[in-house]
Parts: sequence; C-alpha cells; structure tokens
Amino acid sequence: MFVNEHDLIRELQAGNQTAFKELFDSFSPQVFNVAYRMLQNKQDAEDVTQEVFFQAYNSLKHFRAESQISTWLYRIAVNRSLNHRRKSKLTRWLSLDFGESEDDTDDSGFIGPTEDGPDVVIERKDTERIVQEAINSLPDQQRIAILLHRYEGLPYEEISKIMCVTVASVESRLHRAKVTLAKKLLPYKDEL
Amino acid sequence: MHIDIQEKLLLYLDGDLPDEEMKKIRAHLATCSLCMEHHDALAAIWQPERSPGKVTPSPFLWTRLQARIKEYEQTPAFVWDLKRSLQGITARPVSALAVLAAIVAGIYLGTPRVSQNYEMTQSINQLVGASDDLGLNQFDVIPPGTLGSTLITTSTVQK
Repeated sequence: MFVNEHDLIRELQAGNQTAFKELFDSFSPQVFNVAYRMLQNKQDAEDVTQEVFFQAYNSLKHFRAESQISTWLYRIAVNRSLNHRRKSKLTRWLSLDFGESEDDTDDSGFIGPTEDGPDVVIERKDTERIVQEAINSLPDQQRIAILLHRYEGLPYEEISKIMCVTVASVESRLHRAKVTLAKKLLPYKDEL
Repeated sequence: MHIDIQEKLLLYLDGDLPDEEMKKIRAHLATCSLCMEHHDALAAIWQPERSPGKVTPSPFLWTRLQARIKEYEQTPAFVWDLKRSLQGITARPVSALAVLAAIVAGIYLGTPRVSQNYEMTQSINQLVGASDDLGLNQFDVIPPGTLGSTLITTSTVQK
C-alpha cells in the first residue's frame, strides 16, 4: 500500500506491477463509471476502461505529475469515451442502421443498495432514465461537465483540468447545461 | 416571468446563482404555486442522494487487461510501431482515394457519350458516300427493309 501519490507514481514509473495493480484497483471504478455514463453500455465502458489503463501503462514513464493521477486518468477516459462514441456512430451509419441506438443499456447498477420496496426502486429507475436521457441530449462539452460534476462529484477546478478549459468555462457550461436540463425535464413533471 | 424562474430552478437548487437572484427566486416561489410545483418536482430528482449509485465493472477486467499487456510485451516493439504507423499512413490516403474514385466515377457516368455518337455519324457518312459511289440512290424502287433502302433514306436526309 503506497502512502502517497508521489510514491505510487515513482513505483509505477519504475515498472512495479504491484503499484500498477493498486492504481487499477483505486481508479478503475471511477474510470469505468465515467465511461459508462458517457456510453450507456457496460461492455463499451469496460472496453474503454481497459483502453485507458493500457494507455496509462504505456505512458506512465512520460507522466510529469503536473496534475493528479486521477485527473490524468479521467482525461484519458473522457477522450477515449468520446472517440468510442464517434466510432460507434460511424459504424452504425456505415451499416445503414438509422434506428434507435443499439445500446443495450443495462441499468441494473444504476441504483445503489436500497431498502425501499420494488415499486419505489422501479419509480426511481424511471426517474433516473428520464434524467439520463435529458443529459444525453446535451452537447458533448456540457454533458461531460455535468457528468463529472453530478455523478463524480468533482470540483470545478478538477473538471477544468480534465477538460483542458478554464474554471469560468466549466461554470458557463454547467450553467447552460442546467438551464437546458430544467427546460427538458419540466415537461416530465408529472412523471417525476 | 414564470419561464425565467423555471429555467433557473436547477441552478437555484444547486445554489449556483448570485445572492440577489436567489432571493428573487425564493420570493417568487413563496407566492407562485405553479413554479413551486415545478421546483418540488425537480428537487425530488436533483438531490445528490437521489443520484444513481455507482456501477461496478466486471471482476474479470483486471485479468483481461493483464492479458493485453502480456501480449503487448511479448510482441516485438517494431510490430506495434509498424501497426501504429500503418494505421496513420493508410487511413487518410485510403479515404482520399475512395473520394477520388467516387468523383471520377461520377464524372464518367455523368458525361454524355459524344465520341460514340461521332463515330456512328462517321460510319453513316461513309455508308452514304459508298451508296453514292455505287449509284444505289439511282434506283427508283428499292425493296423496303433492305440495306439499300436504309442507305437511300439516310442519304436523302443527309443531303
């Protein structure tokens, strides 16, 4: 167990496999969740998570520790997820599949452990589906900001580093995203 | 007024607005039951504790990653470099060639066959010339449907 990030990075750069396993165990859930929120598909999210850690493994020796390692991994995850999404769209377009997304959204993990009854769980899933659909309809940059903020609970400053923009820009994107979401969600008021 | 307030309800719930605007919205909500209804509906889903739980990846993800890294390390570096460079080299030229081929095909299919018409006209002229030389156009009666009738007709039209 590495006490601080500095030691972990030093061991990673020295090729310590235990350190890499620790990096994976510590950050793979976050990376996977970001990918899952962006792609809405468990299999795709696992593929992206694998890509992220594979890229990290190959690039660790070049990591300059100018940002936290989590920020670096989040940034790779966001970029990889965007690429994956574009490729999937292109593949669907080339296969002339213009129908609904082929995502087999598995939302079994959406709601954490709960003692509520099945009715409440189903209702919460429905509600979250509506919210998730509204978020998915946002432009990429606003969507990423809201996912990192709402689901990962990251502060504006870290989001700005992940997205390589200023804090003011993150604030502006979140502001616009929340206005758009309020507009999109209000028609569902009776279902919420 | 109501629309302005309703659009800002998520910002209000997160406390992302300036103090003055927060006060303004609070005052409006105290008097407007419609906007308050919207506020309550959004508040019910936007609370942090209502946000969905984390999704967990497959326990085999680490094994898959290890297998991939092992394969990478067992393959000579030049093979990966070659693969990577080939991907970069081939992707754009292949796309460019495909576009070029489509343009050429479009031009070819869209161009009228001038040369074929020209060759056909030339052949007819030659035949007309030959019929004149042979004196075929001197006959008064040419059986219909024969080569002679075609040549005479064409020759008359040409002249």
